[in-house]
Amino acid sequence: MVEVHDMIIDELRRRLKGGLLNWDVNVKSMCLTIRVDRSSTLEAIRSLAEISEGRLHLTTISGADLGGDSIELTYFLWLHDQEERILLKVNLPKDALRAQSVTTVLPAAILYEREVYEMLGVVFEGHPKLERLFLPENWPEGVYPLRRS
Amino acid sequence: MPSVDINIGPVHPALHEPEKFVFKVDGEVVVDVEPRLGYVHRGIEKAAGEKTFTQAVYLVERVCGICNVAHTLASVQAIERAFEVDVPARAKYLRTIIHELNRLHSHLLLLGVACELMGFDTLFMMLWRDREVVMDLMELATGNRVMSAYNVIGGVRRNISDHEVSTIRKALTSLSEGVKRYRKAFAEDPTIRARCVNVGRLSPFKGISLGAVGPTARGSGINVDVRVKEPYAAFDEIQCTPITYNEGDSWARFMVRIDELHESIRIIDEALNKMPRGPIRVPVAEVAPQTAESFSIVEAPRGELLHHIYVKKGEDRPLRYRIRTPTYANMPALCEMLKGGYIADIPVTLVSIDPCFSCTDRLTLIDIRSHKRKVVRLKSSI
Amino acid sequence: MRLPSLLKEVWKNLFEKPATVKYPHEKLGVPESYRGKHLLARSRCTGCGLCGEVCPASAITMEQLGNGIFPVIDLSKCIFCYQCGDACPRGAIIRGREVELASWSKEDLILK
Repeated sequence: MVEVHDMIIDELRRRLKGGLLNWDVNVKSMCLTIRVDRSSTLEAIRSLAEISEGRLHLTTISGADLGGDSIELTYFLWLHDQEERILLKVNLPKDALRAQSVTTVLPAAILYEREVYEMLGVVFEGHPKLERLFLPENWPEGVYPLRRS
Repeated sequence: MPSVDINIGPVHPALHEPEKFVFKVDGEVVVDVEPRLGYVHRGIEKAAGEKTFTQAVYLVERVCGICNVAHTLASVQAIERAFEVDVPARAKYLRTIIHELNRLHSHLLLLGVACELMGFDTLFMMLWRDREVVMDLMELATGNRVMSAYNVIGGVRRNISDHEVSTIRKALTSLSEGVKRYRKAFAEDPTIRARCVNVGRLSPFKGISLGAVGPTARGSGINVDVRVKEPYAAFDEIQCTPITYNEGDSWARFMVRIDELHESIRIIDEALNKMPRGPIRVPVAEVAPQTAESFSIVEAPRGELLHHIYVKKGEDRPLRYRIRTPTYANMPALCEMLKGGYIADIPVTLVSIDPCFSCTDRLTLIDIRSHKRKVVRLKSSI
Repeated sequence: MRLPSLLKEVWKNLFEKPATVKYPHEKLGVPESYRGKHLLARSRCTGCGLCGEVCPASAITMEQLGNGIFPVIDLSKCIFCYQCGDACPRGAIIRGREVELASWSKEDLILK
């Protein structure tokens, strides 16, 4: 494992304690994948933003329903200062699809969270304006196109 | 005085694609912007999950016609990573060359459109005349002017012969002369400067926090370029310098693109020199050999483009296909640029991020009348 | 006042050949590698149907023609990617260079 990965993991372990579930380094792409508890999402993003001194770029939030009883969110992050790609993963059980909004730290997440909300029905707590983004106004309530069920 | 709402779009002469913006204006000054996306939403992410891997590559090629090579490149790289396939070295170089040719044509197109919106039709005509040189090279190398169908899983479709190499070199040398003249015009011409300098400013801090990508970010002095920071294809062996301007206005964003034209021409030249001989394609299994998740990020002409896929062992279709296009990422930054500017500057600011709305809208296929979600095999829906 | 830097170019254009051609009276032609209308070599075809399987646009159907099963390509659906030609084990689908495919009726676009 690279030094910078150790530093990031140490810092996250100190800040999140039990919220940090596990981590590993993808051999092919050499990027760090961190899995956190859903109640630690915001704190994890905040820690990473502090590690890169505010220069944290959110590439996207990618939500996937893989058919099990949970939905997986992947935050693709780029630390400008360390020049590191980090994947932050959060699992949400399907019977309680609530996640913490990270818009207070990363305003870039506003559109991505809205998209995950309309496509998969994940409610982001603390989002300033959780409305539909792409789908038409007359779209039926409670129908989420990318869910498998 | 209370502010007034102005609706621009979905169909408007200043927008080249259907998208709606609601501008709150106070006199001539824009106070707030609310974009409404989704008019050209085609359900590509959902449909990609219904297609085999081979077919999905052709589908995502159609997310955006202009940057189709970037889309296929990201797609095949993501699939190859999930399948753990190694691509021959020559194929990597060929991919790089076509990728950069695609960038040349996209940047020339945008600069031409920008000139037209500024009322500088002479330069518009000249840029598009020279763009034709690049289109001819694309046709020569891939077999079609726009839809290249060049990158395939495991390599590339066609080889480039020595004769074609010399044709490409010759054409790019003459293009390079033209680009020098256009750079001078963009840098000095009073009409262009009057319309662009200090219009649509974006600070580096805002650029990072709002997630700006590509030339939009680089025009604000943010040093990001996937080709340099996370090299893919042959970029780990080819020298590539990110071009940044610190002004952060529309002019800086256009200048980034013009300088990138030179950089792309140089990259193509270097790739043609270094390109090894050998095979261009390896056979790849049709079904996924293992359950895996993978992603690929490439620098499309408009910025960072991400394809993220989940595959399941023994399945010939992706479990989930996620695409994040660059214009979508630039939307919050665009709204920030428009705020505080004049109504008359809206078109120039808008075009300076190189908007591609068909990129921004994708996703989902649903039977609205019965309110039921259903999995539609594309075969049956045609 | 300084002369605009593009003035020379504009002046040159007055005496140069136009950048455009008068289509359809003049034609530019397409390069050797162009992907145009397919040529179907029926003598090589075994009727295996692989081309129809891989076609991303579902443009190819297999039909009984004369004494065998052969592919029929609907050019109005075709996206000219030539995945069919790649998939064909016998090389029965050959790349053609014809580009002028506009027609008055859809039946003309069915390639047998």
